Amino acid sequence: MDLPRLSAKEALILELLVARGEMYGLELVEAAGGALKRGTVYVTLGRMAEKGYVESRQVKEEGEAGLPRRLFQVTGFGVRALQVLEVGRRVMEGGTVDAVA
Amino acid sequence: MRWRSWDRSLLSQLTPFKATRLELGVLFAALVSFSLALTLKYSWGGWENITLRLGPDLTRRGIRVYLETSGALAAAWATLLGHRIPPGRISLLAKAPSPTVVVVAPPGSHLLRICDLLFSKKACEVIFTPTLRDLQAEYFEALHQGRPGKARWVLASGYWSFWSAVVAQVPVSLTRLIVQLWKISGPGG
Repeated sequence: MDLPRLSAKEALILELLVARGEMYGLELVEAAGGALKRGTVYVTLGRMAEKGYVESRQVKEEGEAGLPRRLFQVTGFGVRALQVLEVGRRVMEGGTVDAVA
Repeated sequence: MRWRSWDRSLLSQLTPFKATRLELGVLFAALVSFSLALTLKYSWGGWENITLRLGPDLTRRGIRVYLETSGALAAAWATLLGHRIPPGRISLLAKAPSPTVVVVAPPGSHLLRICDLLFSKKACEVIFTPTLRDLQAEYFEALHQGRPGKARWVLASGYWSFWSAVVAQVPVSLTRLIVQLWKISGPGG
């Protein structure tokens, strides 16, 4: 099985979603502090959803008739991909590979 | 323009009199106007609540027609035009300091239709609808706060974001389309 590949933006999005739970695009942009752009965040999220790292659902807030909000959350596969990346980072920094829970 | 023979024969069967295309057009327009007038009158409880007026555009330079009305009516009007404005937002706008102004067309509503034509349903749902949703939410929030300058800035940055997303997504969608066409037209397709 091939190891999952994550770009810097994808890794950042996964880290944020793992840390904060479900979020929508604008929240991610604000939480990233300039590392993510508004124009491309949903494109990146769409590609991550195709790869299986994240999943999304539409939320219709009560009393709102406008466009629905789409919330994204990390999948189990996404969590594992992030763990693989973290292990790789540790190894590259000269550390040891601990058992991953 | 001359009528074709089957047009004439059909017309003669349908109508007891001979009418030109122009006359039929006028009749059709009158019927549509009458139906619309009836809908307005009986669905929304009279004309007194509706005021259309010209005013300065809050977001662009120039003049724009504003619908000055109560919240429920604006919602119905917006629904009729196919523009979905959250009722919450409308009531907030209706309570805004004078003049009470409701923006008839929310920004980006036409762009969404373009996306429906150009991209897959999934791409529209995951990428473009949320982008425009964020734009509209921020835009209405800025208007509600009475900050047209901020609304203008939100609009500009929102449209920039939208077109950035389009540019980023076009190669993906195009590649997917080519692959699909290749599969269909190939020997196994």
